[in-house]
Amino acid sequence: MKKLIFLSFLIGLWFFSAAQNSYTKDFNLTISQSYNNLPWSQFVQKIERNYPVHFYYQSSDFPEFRISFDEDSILLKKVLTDHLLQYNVFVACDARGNIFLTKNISISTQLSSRFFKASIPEDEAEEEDKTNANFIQTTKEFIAQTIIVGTKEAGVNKRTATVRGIAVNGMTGQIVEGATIVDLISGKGVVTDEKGSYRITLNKGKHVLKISSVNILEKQIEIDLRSTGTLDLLLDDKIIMLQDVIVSAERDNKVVGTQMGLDKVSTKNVKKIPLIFGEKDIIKVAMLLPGVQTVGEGASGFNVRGSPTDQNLFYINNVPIYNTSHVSGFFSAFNSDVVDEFSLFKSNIPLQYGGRLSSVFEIKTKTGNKDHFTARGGIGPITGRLTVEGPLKKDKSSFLIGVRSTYSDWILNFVKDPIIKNSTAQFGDVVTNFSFQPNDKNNLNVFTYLSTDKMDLYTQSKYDYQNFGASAGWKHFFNNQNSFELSVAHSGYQFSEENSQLEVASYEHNNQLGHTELKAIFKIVPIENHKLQFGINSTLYTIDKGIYSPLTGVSLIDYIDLGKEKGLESALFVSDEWKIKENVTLSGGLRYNLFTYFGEQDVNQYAEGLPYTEDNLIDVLHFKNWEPVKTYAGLDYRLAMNYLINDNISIKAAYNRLHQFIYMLSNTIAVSPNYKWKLSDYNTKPIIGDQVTLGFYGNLLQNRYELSVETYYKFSQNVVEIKDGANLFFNENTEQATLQGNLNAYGFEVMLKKNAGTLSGWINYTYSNSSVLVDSPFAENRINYGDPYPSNYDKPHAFNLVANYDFSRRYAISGNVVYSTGRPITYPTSIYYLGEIPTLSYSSRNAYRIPDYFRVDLSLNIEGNLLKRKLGHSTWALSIYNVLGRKNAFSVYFKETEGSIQAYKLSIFGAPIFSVSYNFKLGNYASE
Amino acid sequence: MQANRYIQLAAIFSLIFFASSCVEEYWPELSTNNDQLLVIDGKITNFPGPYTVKLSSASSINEALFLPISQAKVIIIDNQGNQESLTEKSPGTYETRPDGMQGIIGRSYKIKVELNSGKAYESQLEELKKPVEVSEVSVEESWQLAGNDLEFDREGYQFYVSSKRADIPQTYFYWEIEETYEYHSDYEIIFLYDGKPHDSTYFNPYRLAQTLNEDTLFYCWRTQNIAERFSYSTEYLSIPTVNKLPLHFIPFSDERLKQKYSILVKQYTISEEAYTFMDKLDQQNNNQEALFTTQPFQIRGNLKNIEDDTEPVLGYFLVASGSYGPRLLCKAPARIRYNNTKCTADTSVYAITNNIRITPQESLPLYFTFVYFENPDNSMGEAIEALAWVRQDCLDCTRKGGSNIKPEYWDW
Repeated sequence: MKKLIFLSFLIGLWFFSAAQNSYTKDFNLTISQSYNNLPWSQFVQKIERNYPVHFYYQSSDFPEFRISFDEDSILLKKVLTDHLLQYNVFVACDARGNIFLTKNISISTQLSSRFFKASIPEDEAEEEDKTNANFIQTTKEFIAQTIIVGTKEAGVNKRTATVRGIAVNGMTGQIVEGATIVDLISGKGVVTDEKGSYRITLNKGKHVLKISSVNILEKQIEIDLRSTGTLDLLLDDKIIMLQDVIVSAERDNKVVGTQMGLDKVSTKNVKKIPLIFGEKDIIKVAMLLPGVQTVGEGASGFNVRGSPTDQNLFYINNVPIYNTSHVSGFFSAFNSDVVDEFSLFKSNIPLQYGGRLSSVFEIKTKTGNKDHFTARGGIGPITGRLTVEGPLKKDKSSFLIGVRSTYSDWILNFVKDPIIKNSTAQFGDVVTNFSFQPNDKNNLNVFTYLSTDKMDLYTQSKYDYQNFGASAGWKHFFNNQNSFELSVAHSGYQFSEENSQLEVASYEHNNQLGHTELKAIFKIVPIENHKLQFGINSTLYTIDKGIYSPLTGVSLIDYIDLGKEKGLESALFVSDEWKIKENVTLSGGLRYNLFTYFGEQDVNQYAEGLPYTEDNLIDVLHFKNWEPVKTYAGLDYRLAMNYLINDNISIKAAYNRLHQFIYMLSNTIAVSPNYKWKLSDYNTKPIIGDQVTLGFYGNLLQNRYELSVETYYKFSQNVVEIKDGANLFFNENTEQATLQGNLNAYGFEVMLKKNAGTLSGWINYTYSNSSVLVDSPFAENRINYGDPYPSNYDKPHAFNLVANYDFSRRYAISGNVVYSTGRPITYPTSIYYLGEIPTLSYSSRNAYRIPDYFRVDLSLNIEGNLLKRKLGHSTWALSIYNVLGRKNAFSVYFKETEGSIQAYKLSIFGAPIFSVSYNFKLGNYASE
Repeated sequence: MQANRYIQLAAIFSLIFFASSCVEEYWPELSTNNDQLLVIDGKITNFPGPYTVKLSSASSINEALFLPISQAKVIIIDNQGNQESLTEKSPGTYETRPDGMQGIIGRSYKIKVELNSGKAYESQLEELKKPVEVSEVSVEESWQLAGNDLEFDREGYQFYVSSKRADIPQTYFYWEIEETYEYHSDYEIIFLYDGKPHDSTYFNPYRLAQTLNEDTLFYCWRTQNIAERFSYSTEYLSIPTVNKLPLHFIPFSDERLKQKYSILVKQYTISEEAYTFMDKLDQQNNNQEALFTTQPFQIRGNLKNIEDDTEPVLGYFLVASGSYGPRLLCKAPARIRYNNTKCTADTSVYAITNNIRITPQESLPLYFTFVYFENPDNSMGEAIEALAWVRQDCLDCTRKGGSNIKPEYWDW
């Protein structure tokens, strides 16, 4: 039965197409001499018999006559016209083979080619359908229904008609001059005059008029022109996409210059990326860049090119931020509404930055609008945000204040678990930015940052932490090429913990870090082809490791003061970029670092060459306040070269060395919130990092695609690792808990980026390797038996795809695809019994891997209408994180309970996470 | 557990309506290579001997086995030159003589092990410190909250220990808990088959013997060590004392609490090294389920190969001075009801005769019970009485590992 239906369907289809073919041919139906010399009535009969056509006419309209023509073959229509025009009878044919012969009235013969769908060649018809569909789906400005111009009666006998009217801006009521009105079907077009009026003569029938002008929104109107008539055009203001223009103008050209390993992302480019919980999170975006890894979802910080998290330095408008996440890793501590763009330097870090080996993550916030007051904000499942900005003095100075906060813990109320139900997690951040431009030569900027987190795990523990910072910057332009920049910044990080798991041993502990930095840079162009930069940079670190104290009267915990420390890191730097030849640029620089660890401090002195253990402690040296305990000097170098093969392709190479005088004390695989910072000191040497990079860069297909391929090798000395099982909490002598080793990393990164067009995004692949070696002649100073082991975040293969497709200005769909090899993990190697308890024994560190990571996210962004004159514009963002609901492993662990051993897999986000957020701003779509 | 909740908090907080963080059982593919490391498990205490030392080799991760090491020479030596060689009582288990060496407080002890292969191992001398007295052992009703979503919150007893103040500020404690519980057979023994024919009756056509005395296999007491490690250090405390430190937890659903339950706490004072060893094992076992975990590593004990100190040796030879805590006796609250017996009585002729037929002579006697149950077919509600076959461990409580001899302290 099914076959039969299918067969008849096929037959039907064949008939249909065959018939269609014949219909379209009717227009060009030619007849031969065999029809010559026939009387009219016989002629009609013979034609109707042999061809699928029908004649419609009144025999009274004309007398009987005989057909005559000389040609061997002739168009039927021509024959009819030639013979009937003398009787004032018009000939009209339609696509169905109907031939109408009408006296005195012309049925628009011109219509026949367009009016009936079947006569339109299929490909063209489809296109028209699409256009129509677009009208309906995209904007309401595109009117789908047809406007009828004139009347049938008035148009009788005429092939053409004239449409005239005035083009008026519907919002202002002003007439629109110079708007072009084009008939998309015939291609005919006119322009409105200074009075806004226009006049266009077209064939009768359906037309699509496209109206466009510099400052009006393009509009398409479908009309059915029946006779000459009036059509006034109500138009809307156009939104000028200045922003887009700026972006493309400022787009970084990776091909030129000697900078390598740089990823610059503007928040505008990533605003449609699907993100978790409706939070546009720039740190999460950074993790989609090549060479950026993390231990797992929910881990704070990230790992750049195989380096530990403490080798990254975060700056937001020159303020260093020491904890970049809220809820310890689930959200970034930066409100994306105030962020303009961020740059991630993975290699060849500019000389003005020092003190971190692996990367500098530089965030630039927006400056307030100097022209008018505006505001923006949003609400997601977790946070609410509001940013206001405006001029202090028009065109001279401005302010911007951005606030973000969790607005309640309502989600926790849905949880049955009594501990979680009664727990709280709150966070917020505030950014203010004041900028002053008294004249063209000077820029002043004052910026403050505050982020705060409070997590209270009911009856168990509390974590509170704050980042706070402020910076003031002055930029002076001597002339177009030479400038001077001065900035002062202070940043503080404070962490406090209350642990009440065991009442009798409950404790509280605070620790804090201060970072005060001064930077002065001159950028000079002394002679042609040279760009000189020099300056000073000085940082004072103060760390209070805090006091452990009993939390309650019942607690037996003793007071333990872990002490304070301070160090000053100062640097002088100079660099030059020298354009040797048109296609060869060389840049080099030196940065001389001097780090002094100051008292007041009691310093342990251990027997020379022996491990730092209590047994080998020979003396305790006391240093007075501000007395230098230890000074380290180190020279950083940068050397880079660019060879331009042609305007669009270049090869670059770089070598650089950096020094780091501060490190993180954390013994957990994913950095836990209660880590501490520690300075290089009497017993701990500074960390030194070298990196060699080679890269290939190309702008392809008229700059539509940007391809970069980079390969690197890194070697870091004196990397601080924590001894197996060492206690970092109550430890006053952390040198006894740490070891220094070497880190080796190499990798290969390919990135293809498409910035413009309806489809934009990037795709990248990274192959990398990162391993640590801690060896020593003393067994107790080895980790993993003195053999190299993969670092915790070593994920050899990583693939990221970020794509955004704009259906229209208002609708866009975005997706991420993330894949990486599972992180390394240490599994037990054998099992033994102690009493009745089965006990696991582990050996080689990180010898196994957890299952691979794979995630797909999707989001849909819906912009509000595109009207220009409106109070506010809104956007809805719907996103699904982990669409496939894959239970990606965060860790795999073994546990013994009640005499048996079981292994478990822990996933953080084991289900698709759906979120909706609503964003708004004053002004229209394009307002900033 | 705390840290796991922390993940949940963060994850739930981050989500809408449901927690998606999850834990599932997962056994990764592991190498079956076994490095066959030497394992030592033993101790010398101030309690009277004999002292036991077990030698074994670690087994493959995929199969937990005690792989004894036999024919080793094991010697315990004190710092005054006394020593005693241990004899192998069963494969891998070595013991001192009952009248042999006694742990004396203030002396230091070490162990020497020489394997059949010729490899020799030795521990460092560790002092047998002065024991610290237990001041209190207590129990409280509490809820144990599920550590992950595979578990459930459970209500039960949480046991605690407190000690008197130690003389030394840095005292390291280690506890062993011996539990004793009473349990009953599910059915009483009424008949038994002893291989001889007896008089048949209406209820006993099988000619079984009928018990005349009280069923002595109905009440049993089992004593065993709890398979959990407890250790604590006073290093960071202002007063060197243990105050209500949580020990083990038993849910009310556990059969051990069905009748009466008792614990005897043995509180040991150990060396810092031994404490560190225990603490690391504990941490490694309990902290892996969290978001922020430390890197697992090989935890070595105090035994070292004399010639190659890089050879890993697992386990520990403890030098531990102990004191007993007051015995704690308890019983599940009256509101807790137990009714889930896994034993079923079978009154069918087949079950009875077949079990008699298949039981070998040396396994006799075979016990039977007598059951009363409602007859579903009898509208008068008359009960049926019948002789029934029941799995033997449901009748003979000693088959479940306990003894039918009541401990002296049990009447309370």
